[in-house]
Amino acid sequence: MRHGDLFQELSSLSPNFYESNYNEIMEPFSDKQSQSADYGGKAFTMRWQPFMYACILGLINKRRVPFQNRPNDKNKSGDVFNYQVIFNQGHKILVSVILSVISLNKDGYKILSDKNKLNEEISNYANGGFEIIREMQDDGISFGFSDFMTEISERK
Amino acid sequence: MKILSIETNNFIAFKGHQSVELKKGLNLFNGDIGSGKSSFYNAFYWCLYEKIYITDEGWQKKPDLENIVNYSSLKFLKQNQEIECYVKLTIENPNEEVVRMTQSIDNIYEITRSFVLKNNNGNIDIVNSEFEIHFNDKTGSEFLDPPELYVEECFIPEILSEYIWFQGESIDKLLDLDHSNSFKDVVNSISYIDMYDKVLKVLTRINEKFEKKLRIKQRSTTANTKAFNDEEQRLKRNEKIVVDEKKIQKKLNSEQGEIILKKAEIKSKLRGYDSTKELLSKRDRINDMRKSVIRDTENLDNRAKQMFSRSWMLKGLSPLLKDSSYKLLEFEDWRNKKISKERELPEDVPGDIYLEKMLKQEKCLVCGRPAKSGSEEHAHIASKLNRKNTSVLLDPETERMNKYVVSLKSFPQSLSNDLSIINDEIKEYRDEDFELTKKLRILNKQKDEIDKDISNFEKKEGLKIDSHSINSNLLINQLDKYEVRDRKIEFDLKQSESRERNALNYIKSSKSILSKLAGSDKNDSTLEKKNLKESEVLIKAVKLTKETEYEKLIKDIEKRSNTYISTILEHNSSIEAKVEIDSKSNIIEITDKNNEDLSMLNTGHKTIIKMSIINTIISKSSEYKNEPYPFLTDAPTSNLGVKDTLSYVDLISNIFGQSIVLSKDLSENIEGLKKNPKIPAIFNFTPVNIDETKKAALENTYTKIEKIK
Repeated sequence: MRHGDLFQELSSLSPNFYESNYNEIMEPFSDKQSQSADYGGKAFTMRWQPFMYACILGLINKRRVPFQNRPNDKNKSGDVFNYQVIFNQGHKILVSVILSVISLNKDGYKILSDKNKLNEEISNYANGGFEIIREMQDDGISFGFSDFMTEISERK
Repeated sequence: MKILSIETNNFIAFKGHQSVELKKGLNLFNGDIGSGKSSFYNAFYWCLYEKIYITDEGWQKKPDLENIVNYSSLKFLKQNQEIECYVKLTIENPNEEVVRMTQSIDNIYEITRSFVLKNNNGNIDIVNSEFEIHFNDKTGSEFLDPPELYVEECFIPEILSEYIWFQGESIDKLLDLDHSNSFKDVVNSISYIDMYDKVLKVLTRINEKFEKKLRIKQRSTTANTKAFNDEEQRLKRNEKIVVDEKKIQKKLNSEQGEIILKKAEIKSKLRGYDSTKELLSKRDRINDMRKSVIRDTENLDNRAKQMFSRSWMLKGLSPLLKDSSYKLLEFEDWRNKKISKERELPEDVPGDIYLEKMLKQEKCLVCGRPAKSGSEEHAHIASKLNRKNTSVLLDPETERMNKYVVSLKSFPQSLSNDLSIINDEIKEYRDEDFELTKKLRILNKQKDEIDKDISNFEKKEGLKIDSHSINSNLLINQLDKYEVRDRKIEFDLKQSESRERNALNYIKSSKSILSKLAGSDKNDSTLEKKNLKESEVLIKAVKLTKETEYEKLIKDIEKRSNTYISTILEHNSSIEAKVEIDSKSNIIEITDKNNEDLSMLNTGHKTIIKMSIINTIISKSSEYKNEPYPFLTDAPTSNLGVKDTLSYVDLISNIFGQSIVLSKDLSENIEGLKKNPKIPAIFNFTPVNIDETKKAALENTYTKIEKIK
């Protein structure tokens, strides 16, 4: 299966996310030490996984939140992971996300012509997904593994 | 004897000064676990005998005063501040002897044990510690001196106190139904039978004096002083052997008694273990099944976690993926149109049929000029062939986009298939998870039920099932060791008895020789010999009377115990137990009305039987001495049912002139008990939280005694 240069061009880029989302959601939800995720462990074993989960949540709920300048919440990316990592470890997830972005983008496939724009769109949907997670947390959902399972079960 | 009141000041659970006026008849004290019942019970013991009972540890003589003083008062004792702790018992008519000796004007005696502690730069020092008995005589105020002696002789002898003032949990040690010596010890300790032993002691002493006098007389009449002296020495040596062997036997008997008690205790625990086996195996089975379900749940959860982060998070993307395939097709359509446009030929350009004809004829059919094979014109015409099948290259930007679209276009369909599989996998997981949760819920319910059964069993039998089973091997080893020691003692006892018999034979022969050496004919009718014979007859008579009286007493105890047992168990149709006591062997047999053996009764019923026997002996003793003692018991009924408890309490009120019963089992029936005319006083132990903003803890709570009737 050939993937052309699309992923090669994307691989050097890194998704964007707020530092607070990294510290309060991505980091606590993923358990880097435990590759096998023991019983009672966290839902994700890699840092990129909660990011992509948030992105899918944003896409399904069509919640796209562009980044704004937040003085107390810096943008954090590059030093955590890039698309190369996502492609190597979860290419199906990355392809699904790109296709979903194409589906929702008003210019459709044209988004593919601009890798930075594609990254921005992926990051915006993830940002929207993080907002949804925060809202659920505010509603008292603790987000243990069973809560993640409940959330995906409720999807149409 | 009657206890009029008990006053406590900063004693264990009771902060500050508290006073309880006790009535004649039954005084009931009701309180939950940890409410201060045992502190109240210990107040009586500490005041009279300076000892306290600690659950699971037993009696503690001269306890540390810091453990006696109220904890919360001591905790907040400021620098150089002092705290006084005391217990005062006011007793009326202790016994005739003390009343006669003291010439008290009102027969009221105050027994006070007290001490003062001081916080000396963080160290707690004992400032003062006193014990005194105070009464009023014609001259005014007086103190009995030494007070300890009066407690022992004139109030309640310590040995008796164990039987009339006891903790429910120590009743097994008071009377062991599996050990005949245990019953004999109880009878000897608390009945009037010991009077015969006292008489025998006196008579034996008299007998010894007569022997001595006879010996002096015999020496004065003997013709062979040397032989007489030698024989007398031999007699003395053998008499000493008898005394020594008796001491050895006493020691061995006492050790054997303890060993038999311990053996009985272990055997009873091991018997309990047999009954627990079934419960334990059921619990283990349920626990194993629970563990297996929990393990399956863990495995399922781990699998699900991996699947969730690998693919399941994609669930729900189907509509977007489907839509994306249309978007990609849009591009392809656009590009194809562009290519088609590129491929469109101008109207004057001939088709491939004409071109092939031109190449064959080697001339242009449009302009008529020649085009020989191999010429430039021929090559030009050939280049125009198959133009529609040749790919058309569009602008680089479109071609780059095309590459991306081509790389993606196969995905929407394959991912849609994946998503359909994901939906099935998640459904399968949910079903499996639901089944496991259901299984676990059922097993948890079963676990709760078996735990409840075990807890009821433990409560009923008064043992801890887990430590019991863990310790069973240890217990068997201990039992083996005791068996070995028991056999050794038995052997040593036989040896000692044999040595004693030999010595007694020598004594008999020595006495006969001494008599002959003294000139038997002359001395047969001496006063000394006559006295000696008479004292020996008396000793024999008292021994015989004791045996007859003992037999009679045992018959009475058996009869009255059975009346008490049937009174307590009146409401209980499931059991009809009675005891049969053999006065020779002191073995107690428990049978039903058809004389079938009931020795495997549960602990609750055994407790009823034990308390009935003890109460019978006490009541017989009180009747004989005309000195009814007050009765005090803490949690006697912890392994009895509510109805048995109420019957027991009712029986106590009939036997004793005054009784004090502390229990946690009366709360539910307190209103009914308040209406009972046989109960003149009921009290509640109420825990008080000093600072309600803080959690209830030892330093933050104390007990208040409230009279509710």
